[in-house]
Amino acid sequence: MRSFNDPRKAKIGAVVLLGVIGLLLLLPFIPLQAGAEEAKQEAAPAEKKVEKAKDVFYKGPGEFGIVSGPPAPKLKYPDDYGTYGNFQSRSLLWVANQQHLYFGSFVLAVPMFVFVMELVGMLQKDKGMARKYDDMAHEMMKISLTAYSITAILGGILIFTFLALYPGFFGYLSRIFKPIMHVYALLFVLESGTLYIYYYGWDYMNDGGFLKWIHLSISFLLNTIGIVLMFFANSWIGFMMSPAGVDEQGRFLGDIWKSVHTALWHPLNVHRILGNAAFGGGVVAAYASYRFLAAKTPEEKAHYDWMSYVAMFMGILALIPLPFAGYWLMREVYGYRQQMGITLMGGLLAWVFIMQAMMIAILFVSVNYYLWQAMGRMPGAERYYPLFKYMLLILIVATISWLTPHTLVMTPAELKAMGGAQHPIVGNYGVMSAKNTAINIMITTTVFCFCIYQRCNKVPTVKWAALGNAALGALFTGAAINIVFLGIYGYFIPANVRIGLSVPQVCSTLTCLFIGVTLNTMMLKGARQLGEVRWGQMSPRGSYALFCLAVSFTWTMAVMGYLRSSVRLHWHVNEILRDNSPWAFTNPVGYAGNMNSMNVLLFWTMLLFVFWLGALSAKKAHVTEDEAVGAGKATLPAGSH
Amino acid sequence: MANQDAGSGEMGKTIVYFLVFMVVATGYYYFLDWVMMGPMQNLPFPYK
Repeated sequence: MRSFNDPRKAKIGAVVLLGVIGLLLLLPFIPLQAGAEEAKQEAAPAEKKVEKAKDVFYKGPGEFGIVSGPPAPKLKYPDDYGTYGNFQSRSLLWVANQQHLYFGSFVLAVPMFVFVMELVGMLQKDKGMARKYDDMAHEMMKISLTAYSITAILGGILIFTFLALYPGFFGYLSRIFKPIMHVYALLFVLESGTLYIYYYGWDYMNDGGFLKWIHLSISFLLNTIGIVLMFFANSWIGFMMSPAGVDEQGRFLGDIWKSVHTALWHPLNVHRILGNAAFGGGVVAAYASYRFLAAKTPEEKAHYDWMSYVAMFMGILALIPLPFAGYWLMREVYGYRQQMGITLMGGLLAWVFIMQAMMIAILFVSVNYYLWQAMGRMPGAERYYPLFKYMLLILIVATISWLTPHTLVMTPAELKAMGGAQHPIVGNYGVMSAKNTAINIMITTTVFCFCIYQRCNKVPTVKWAALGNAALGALFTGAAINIVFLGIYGYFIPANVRIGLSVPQVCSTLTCLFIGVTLNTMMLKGARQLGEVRWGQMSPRGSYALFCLAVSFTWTMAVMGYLRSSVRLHWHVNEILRDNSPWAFTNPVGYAGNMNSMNVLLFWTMLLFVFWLGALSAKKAHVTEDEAVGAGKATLPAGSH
Repeated sequence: MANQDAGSGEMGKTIVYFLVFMVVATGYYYFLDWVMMGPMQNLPFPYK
C-alpha cells in the first residue's frame, strides 16, 4: 500500500502495467504464425505423401494448399443434432446467439464512447466541464461493467447450446479455428483484467496529469482488445458465409489466415463496428433518459438530459455512415456470389429488407423528433418551429417511398384485377431509384435539422453571416435537387448505369454533412447568445423518442442479423457443410418477426435490471453526498454519481 | 433557414447571394455527377 502513495513508484507501476497489457495484445499473432509453421513441419517429413488441394476462394499463386484436415462431415439427423423436447433447436440457438450479440455489442461500444468522453474531458480548459465529461464517462463504464458479466454468462450459454444442439457443426468449425478459439478465450481474460483495472483505477489515476494519460491509454488498449475479439468472432461468421482456406470437400488447407481473411470479413468488421457504436449510443441514451425521467432534483435532471444528448449524438455519428458500410457489405456479397445478393435483396429475403427500411425510417424520424423536442430547452428556438412541419412532411414522404415494396403479396383474384404483381403506380416506388433517393433525403434532412439545432439559441455575428446563410441554403437546396434529379433520371436509363447513380447521390449527402456542418459551426463562432441552454427542461416526449430510437436499433440489429444468417439457406457453411436438420428451411417472415420481437423484449428486460443496478449504486452515492453536506464538507458538483 | 437570422434590410442581399450560390451549387453538383459517373465509373453520363 505504501508504494501506491509514492507518486514516482505509481507512475513506474502504471507504465509497466500498460506495457504488459500492450505485450499481451501480441497474442493473436502467435497462432497465425504457429499455424503456418505447423503446416510446414507436418508437410516436411512426409513430402512424398503430401496432398495438395485447391482453395475454394483464393486464386493465383496461393490457390493450392496442403490438406491439413478431414473433409466436412455429412451430418445426419438426429445423430449429429441435439434437441430439447419439442423446441426447435435453431430457435433456441437463435435466442442464445442474439442475446450474447446484444450484450457483446453493448460492452464493445461503451468503452469506445468512454474513451472519447474521457479524452474530451481531459482536453477541456474549463475544469467544471472537464469534471462533467469525466463523471459521465465513469458512469457509462459502470453500466458497462454489469453488462460485461452478463455478456460472459451469455457467452457460456451460447457455447453449451452449440455443443448440445449442433455438435457436428461446432466440431467442424472448432477444428478449423482451433488456434483462434484459444486466443479468443485468452483475450477475453485479458479484456476482463484490463476492464477492471480501468474501472477501479479511475479515481486513483485521476491526477489530471501523467497517470490520467496512462489511464486513457489503458482505455485505448481495452478498445483494441475488444475490437480484436470482435474481428475473431466475425471471422467465424465470415467463414460460414464465404468460406476460404478449405478445398471443395471442406478440408482445411493449413493456412488459418486464409480462413480468417475471407471475402466478407472486412466489410463485416467495418459494418459491425459502426453498428455497435450506433446501438451502444442508443442504449446509453435510453439509460440516461430513464434516469432523466426518474430524477428528483433539477441538477440530476440537467445531468441526465445532457448525458442522453451526448450519447444520442455519438450514436447518430455512427449511424450516418452505417448505410454506406452496409452498401459496401452488399457489394462484396454480390461480388462473392451474385445469387446470394439476389436472395437477399430481390428474392426470398427481400421482404425482410422492407422491414429493415421501416426500422431505419423510424430511427431517422425519432432522431429528428428528439431534436425538435430538445430545442425546447434553447431560448430562441421558436424562430425555427414553423420549419418542423415541412421537415416532417419530407420525412414521411421519404419513409412511405422507402418502404413501398416492389411486388405485393396478393391473392390470385387481386393479382388478376391489378394486371400483375406490380402496381401500375405504387410499383414505381419499389425500385432502388426511389429508395436511394428516399434515404439520402432523410439523412440530408437530419443534417439540416442538426444545423438548426446548433444555431437555435444563437445569432451569427460574423461579417459574412448573410453570405454564409445563403451558401448554406444553396448547399442544401442544391443537394436535394440533385438527389431527386438523379432518382428520377434512374427511371430513364439501363440498370448498369442506374446502379452507379447512388454514388453521386451519397456524395451530395456527404457534402451537406461535412461542408454544411463545418460552415454552420464556423458561422457560429463568437455568435450572440439568446440565452443559455436550459439542461433538464426538455419535454419528456424527447426521452420517449430516445427509447423509441434505442428499441429501433435493437430491432434493426435482430432483423438484419437474421437476414445475414438466413442467406446461407440450407448450409451451415456455405456450399461446404450442409444443414441436414429439420430446421434448415427459411422461416416465414411472420415467425422471424415474432422471434426478433421476443429477443428484443428479453434483451430490454435484462437491460432494465442493469439500469436498476446502476440507479441503486447512484442512490448510495447521493446519500453519501447528503451526508457530506451535513458534515459541512464540500459538496460534489451537480451530476456527480 | 437562411433568412431567419437576418434583419429585414439583409433579406434582399441574402436572396441575391442565395441565387448566386445556387448557380455555384448547381455547377458543383453537376460536376460531382459527371465525375462519379463518367471518369470514375467509365459510364456514359449524361446518358445518350
